[in-house]
Amino acid sequence: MGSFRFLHAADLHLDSPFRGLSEIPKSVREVIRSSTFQSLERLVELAIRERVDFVVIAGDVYDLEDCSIRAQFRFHHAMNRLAESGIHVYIAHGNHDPLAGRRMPWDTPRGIHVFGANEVETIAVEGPRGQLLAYVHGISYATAAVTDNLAARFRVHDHTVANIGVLHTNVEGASDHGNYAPASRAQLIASGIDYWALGHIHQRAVLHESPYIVYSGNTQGRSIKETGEKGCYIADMVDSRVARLTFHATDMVRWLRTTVSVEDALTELDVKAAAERELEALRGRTDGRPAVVRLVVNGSTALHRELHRTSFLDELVAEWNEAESLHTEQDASYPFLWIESCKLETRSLLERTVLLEQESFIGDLLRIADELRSDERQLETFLEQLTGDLTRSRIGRHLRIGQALPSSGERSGGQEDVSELLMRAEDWLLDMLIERSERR
Amino acid sequence: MKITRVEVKGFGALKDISLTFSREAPMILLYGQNEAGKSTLMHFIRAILFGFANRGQGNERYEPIHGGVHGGVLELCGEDGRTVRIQRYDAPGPTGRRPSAGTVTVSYSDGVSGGEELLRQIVGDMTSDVYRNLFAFGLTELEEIRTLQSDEISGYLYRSGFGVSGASILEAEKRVASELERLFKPRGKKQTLNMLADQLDALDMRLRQSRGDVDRYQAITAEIDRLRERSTAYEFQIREAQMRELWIDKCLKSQEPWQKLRAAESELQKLPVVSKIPEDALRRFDEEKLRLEELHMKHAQVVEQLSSIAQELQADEPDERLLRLRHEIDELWERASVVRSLETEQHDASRELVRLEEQISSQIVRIDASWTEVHIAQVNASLSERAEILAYREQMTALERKLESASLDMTKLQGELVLLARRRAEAAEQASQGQAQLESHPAGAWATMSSDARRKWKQGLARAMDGWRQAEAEVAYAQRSEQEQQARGKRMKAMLMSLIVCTIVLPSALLPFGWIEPAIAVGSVMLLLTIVMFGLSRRSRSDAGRSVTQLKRVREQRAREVQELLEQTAGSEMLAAAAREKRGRGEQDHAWTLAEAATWFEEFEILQERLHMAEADQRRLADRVTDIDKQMTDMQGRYEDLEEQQSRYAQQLDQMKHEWHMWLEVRKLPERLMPETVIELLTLVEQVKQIMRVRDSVRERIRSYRERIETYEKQVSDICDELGHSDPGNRSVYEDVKLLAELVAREVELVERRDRLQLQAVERQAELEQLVERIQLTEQRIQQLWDEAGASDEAEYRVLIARYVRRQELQAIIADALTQLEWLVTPAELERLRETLMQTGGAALEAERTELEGRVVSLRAELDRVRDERAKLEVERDRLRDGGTLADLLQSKEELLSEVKKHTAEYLVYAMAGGLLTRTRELYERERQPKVLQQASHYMETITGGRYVRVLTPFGEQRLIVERSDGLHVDTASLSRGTAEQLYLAMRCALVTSYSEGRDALPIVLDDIFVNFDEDRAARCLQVIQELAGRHQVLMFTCHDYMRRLVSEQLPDTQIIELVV
Repeated sequence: MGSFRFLHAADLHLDSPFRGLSEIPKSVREVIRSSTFQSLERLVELAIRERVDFVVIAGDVYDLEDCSIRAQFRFHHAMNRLAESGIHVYIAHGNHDPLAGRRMPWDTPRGIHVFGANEVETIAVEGPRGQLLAYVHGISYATAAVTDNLAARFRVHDHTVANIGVLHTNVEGASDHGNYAPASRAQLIASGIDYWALGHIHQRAVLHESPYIVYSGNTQGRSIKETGEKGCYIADMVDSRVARLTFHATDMVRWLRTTVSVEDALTELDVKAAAERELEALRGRTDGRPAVVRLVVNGSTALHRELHRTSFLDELVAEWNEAESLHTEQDASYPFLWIESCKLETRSLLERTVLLEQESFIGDLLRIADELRSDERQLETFLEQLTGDLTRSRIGRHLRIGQALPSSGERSGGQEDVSELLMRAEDWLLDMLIERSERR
Repeated sequence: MKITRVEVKGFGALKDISLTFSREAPMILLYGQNEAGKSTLMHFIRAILFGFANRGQGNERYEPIHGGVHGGVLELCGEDGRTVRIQRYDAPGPTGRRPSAGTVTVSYSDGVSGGEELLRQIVGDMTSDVYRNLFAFGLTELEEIRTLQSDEISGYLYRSGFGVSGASILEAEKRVASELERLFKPRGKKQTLNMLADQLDALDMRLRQSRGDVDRYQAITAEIDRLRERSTAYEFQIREAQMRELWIDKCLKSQEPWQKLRAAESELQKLPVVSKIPEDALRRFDEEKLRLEELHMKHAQVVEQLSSIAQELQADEPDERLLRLRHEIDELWERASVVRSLETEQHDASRELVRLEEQISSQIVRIDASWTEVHIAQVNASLSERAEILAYREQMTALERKLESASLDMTKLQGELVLLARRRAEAAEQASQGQAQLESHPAGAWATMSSDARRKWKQGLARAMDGWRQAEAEVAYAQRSEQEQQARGKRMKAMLMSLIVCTIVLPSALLPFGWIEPAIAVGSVMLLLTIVMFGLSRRSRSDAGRSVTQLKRVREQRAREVQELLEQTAGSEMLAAAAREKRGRGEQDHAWTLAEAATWFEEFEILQERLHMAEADQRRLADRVTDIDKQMTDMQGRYEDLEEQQSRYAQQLDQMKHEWHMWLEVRKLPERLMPETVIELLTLVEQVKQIMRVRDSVRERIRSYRERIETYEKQVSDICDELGHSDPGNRSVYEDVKLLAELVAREVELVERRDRLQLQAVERQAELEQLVERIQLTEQRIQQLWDEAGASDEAEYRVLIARYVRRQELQAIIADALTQLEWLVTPAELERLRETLMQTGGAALEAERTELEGRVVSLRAELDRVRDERAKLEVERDRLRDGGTLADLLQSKEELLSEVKKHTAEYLVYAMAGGLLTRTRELYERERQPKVLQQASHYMETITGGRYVRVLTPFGEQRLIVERSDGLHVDTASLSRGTAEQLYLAMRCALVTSYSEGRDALPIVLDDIFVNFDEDRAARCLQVIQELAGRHQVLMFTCHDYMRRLVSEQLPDTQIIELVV
């Protein structure tokens, strides 16, 4: 019985590719590419600095079953450092890095323990003076697709010290993550574990206190869907209870999403000024880190068509990014603010409702569009008709039309995106039909 | 609106035709044979309503064939019941022009009438084209689809109800298509998405390859280990081979010393041992032997030398007498050359003496033939003497010059006097001539007047002349002005007269007008003017005649004054002569005119000038004569002075000459000599004296020379006598001296040689003794060497020594070889080396070495290869460990996918835009066709009996499509002719309906359009026409009897009119 502290991390996804980026200059790309490793370094340094007694990692150390040797090498190196500092590490592998994956035959350093996949292992953790601190229970995935309820296999036999469960699982089947090793919250609460150190869900969350059910989230954001601070938790335990749970950011590059309203903008220059103002303000919110930003431009404005029709915003983004890239080239440690993309969500001042009421071609067109929008099945059919050629082609393998998105990894969007595209199509048509006719 | 009456006055073939149409009948059928004028009638109706065709379009215009009036009348009845009469003729309008459309008169039944403007109210905004295409048309118009395509009509068909232009919809569709094509094509290569797909496939391939990295890493690690072992093995083998090679190398290098060693050892064994031998034995022996021989030779030489010296000494004895006189003879020999030069000098001096004597005697003769040397000595040629002589000469010369200049001056004065006398005579002559001229002048008497009187007279005359001239001028002026006065008086009179008339007439003329006051004013002004005028004319006339006579009197007086002055002068005789001459010519005495008086006056002026000049000349000549006289007197005085001077100088010169003669006599010099000659003589005497002094000194020198020579000769002869060398011949004293000197020298040399020989004999004797001693010593030493070596003679000694030396050499070779070997191999290895070299030959060793070298090279190459391979693998291993190939590929894929996503989104936007357009269009074509087309569809359905159900225009296009009852869309081009015409008819009917909505529509004229219709369809057509006829009057022209029949069956209300040709 006594107090100790441990570090809970998960989803390191070492050497993971980054989604949604294209045409990045080398200097920026290198920083982003190395961010998962950098974040691992930070994690190790944090553990040593904070003098944790041990570290638990709840799966997805690597991004791939057959992960890169580099990733393994780096991780091996990091584990060596922890071992040298006398910090034990308990690792449960997840769906991204199941035990079945190819691994380098390097010796596991002393003090680093990888849970097996056959059964839940329980390890008694001893303090520096040999006193029993806690039991750490854990189980790894044998293969990527584990649909068994692994949580159900956890058994606690000694309640005198803290019991910590390490598991890669999807509690209550969170929709946007693969439903691996599903477990219910009630089951976890009832299990007798004092601290569930979970992995799999990238958005950190404390699902429950007493017992604590914690997703530490991933240590480094990897796409615009993983915005905000990323890192790990350090839990201070007193008598098998969590006395304090502290989040520590370990991310090297921050992913952010920001919105600029151009409602007041009269000219494109105003738009530019507003965007730049917002971006500069954002710099202050990255704690000196480089960041990747998605810029969303919204508001109803007279510039709506102008912005849609011209490449003004693209140019703005290109110009901004070029400047950032230049700085990064000159100074590798420069905390750049890279615009991943710019989404236009402005609305036209032109009253759509008025047009909608018209007994005219445009009115009919808008009514048809609305009808499609309101009926998912119709919309799907509509899309299928239009994109049959595309989906049947080679590129179709990489696409999931209907959600109009490349098929890998993305789990959100879908309907919303198609609606947005439909809106763009509508805007484009209005521009072609009304404004050009009028201009004539 | 219905046509009630047609009156054709002249139109094409029609002439004076009138037709009356029923107002009640909905349709009127005009039936007639070909050429009955049906079509012409239709054109007539069109022409009346819309004007004749342009004059250019002959056929269309339908000018009357038979001539006459062009045009006619159309009577219409409106819906409101008003009838209107429209006349159109090809006639001048109200403006007088003849419009090509013809001139219209419109008159309503209620009395309103007008022209085109009223007609426009009737036809509305209908244009001629629309009317021709929709209302009044024949088969030609019907067949042509394009007649439906004019803008005005197509507006009804295609545009209505869109809200946007069809063109922009089409453009949008085109844009969609092109954008979609740009992005993606099912089997395209260049489209953005197709290209991305290619890239993705390529990437996937690489990804699949790089999945095996872990296996590869392990395989590489194993291979690296294996290679490491192999390289260690190679390294060992190389080391072994290298060591062996090193050994063989040593052996090969040792071969040469080894062989030397062995040869030397065997020779040494064979040689007997030589126990003892003196140090440096052979050299020492040879030296001693050589030395002994040399000593023997020297001994013989010295003995020889001693005997020759002894012989020489016995040969010569010296002469004692000569040696005693040796010094004296030497001195005489030395002096001999001096005495010889003395003799030469004596000879030269004697010759000089002779020459000097001759010179002296010749010089004396030049001075005076009678003179001797004694005379010369007497002459004193001192400087004071010379000075005296020069003084005499100066004085005499000066006096002679003075005399000469005096006589020259006298001669010059005489010449000048003669010249002056001649000039004086000339001047006197001139003066007397001038006086004579003056005295003979014509105005001579006048000239006698004093010049003052003459001047006064002249001034008076000039004044009088001026007065006369002025008087003449005044008289002339007065006469002229009198004439002018008379002329002006006449003019004045005329003016006065006219003024008087005016004064009377003007006021009276004014009075009848009743202007009384002006008349008075004018009258008074006139009167005043007349009075003034009158006054003026009188005044000028009064002072004219008075002055002329008075002036003439003054002139007479002035003329008289002049004449008096002229006559009172001294020249009056001349005047008198002139007057006489005048009178002689019969002129009046007093008639001196002013011109004549002026001439005279000028004559006097000239005369006076010449008189002045003559007087001045006379005075000048007199002055000159006086001057010359004075000069002559002066010259006479000067001449006399000069004569006196001359005589005085002559006296002085004589005195001087006497004194000189006295001086010469004192000095016993010839008295005829002049001073200059005496100076010259003195110089000559001085020269002679100088020569005489030189002669005396030469004489003295000759004497001293002779003395010295004689003394020398005496001494020589003395010595010769003493020695007994008396002179055998006539040798000169010098030859004697020379002989003596030579004898003495020979004797001295002889003595010296004898001394030297004696000294040499002593020296040689000593040398001989020393040599003998050394020979003995050397012989002893040789014997000693032999004893030491144990040899009895020289030959034995030499053999022993040679044997010893060879042994020494061999031992040195052995030692050297051993040293070399030891340097190559360690002493421990020496035994092994010996063994190796004994067993293996050099060639075998060489072969082995070559083989070993080859092996090492190949082993090395192998090792390098293995190392390279290992390094490569290590690099790859490191790359695999540190590099992110897989991750990079994944990242690239993600980036590609995001590109794909971007372009797919774009593709979808365009695809959906296209889809929306298509859907909307379909909707349109289905539900939102223009009303016209709906109506046309209805008519078409009726006409075709339901075979065709719909007429539609594809979206945004200007063409028609018909939908068959089975849903098939048929393009108009694929329709049969009849059906097509039926479609166009249906369209026209629909358009007419649409067009006429809300208006009082114009009648419809159908000109035999059913030609291509079958009877069934024609009948159905009539149904449609019946429908139309409800709203429009329909005029139908046909030449077909069946049509007439059909119409009368189907539409019994129809008015049928038969047109007869």
